[in-house]
Amino acid sequence: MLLYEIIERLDSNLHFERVSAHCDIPCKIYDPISAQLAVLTMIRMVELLEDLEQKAPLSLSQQAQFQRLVAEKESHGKKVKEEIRVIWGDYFKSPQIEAYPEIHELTHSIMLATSFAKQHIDMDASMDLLAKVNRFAEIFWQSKGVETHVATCPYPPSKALVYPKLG
Amino acid sequence: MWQPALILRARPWYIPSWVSVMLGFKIWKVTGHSMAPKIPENSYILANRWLRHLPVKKGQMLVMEHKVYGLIVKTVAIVDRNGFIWSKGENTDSISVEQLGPSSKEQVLGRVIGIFKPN
Repeated sequence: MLLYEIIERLDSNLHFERVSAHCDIPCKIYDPISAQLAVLTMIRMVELLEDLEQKAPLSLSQQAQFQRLVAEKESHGKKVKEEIRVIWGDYFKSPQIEAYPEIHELTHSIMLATSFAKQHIDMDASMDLLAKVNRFAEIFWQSKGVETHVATCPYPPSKALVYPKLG
Repeated sequence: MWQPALILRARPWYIPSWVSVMLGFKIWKVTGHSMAPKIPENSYILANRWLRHLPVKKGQMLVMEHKVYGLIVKTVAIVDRNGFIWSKGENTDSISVEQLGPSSKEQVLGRVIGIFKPN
């Protein structure tokens, strides 16, 4: 303990290099909200792209905006996949998988639906993805014994989202 | 102009630190808790880089430069027949042996010889 304090004091002067005892689950923080928000972003991008379609032919700045909207839709699609994969791969273990056997198929269908929503500017496809991700969120919270409710998100694209009932 | 004598007068701890560096000793601060309870988070570890030239054996704790995860401290799970080191954490929260993958001996920066825990 004394030695620790001496080293700690030395550290404040010498700034020892940090080495990571790396974990995948440093604080067991998982929340499907990141995936849900990413899907909402994809939906919003589709809305804005559809608006842009009405303005054809596009000016140079509108073409630039088109590029940005597509790029954002693409990157948020990747985020959806990443967030869902991490929760499925790291959080879901035997007890949760036994309780919710549909989780594998659901996760796989989210991967496919995200690819489809990325490939197309298609509101129906994006809404289908949202329904799947919402179901994923519902299962996630149920597995933690947290009740959920459905509410419309108070910002565009104003779609129904599964939220946990906390507090 | 660079004047070592002046620096040493101002920061006398430079002398033991230089000597220890020459002898291959280095202190690292540990972040993350995959090595708990052996190395709790915020512990300091003393590692020696010359010891990396000795045979690596199962159970040794090594500081390594991992290609994906950067500087990490892990326990040797197994050394395979090709001499690659497969490492692991000390609890279930650690990334798995398979995820860490094999490391070569060249990636080892030192072997842990002392652990100074916060409590």
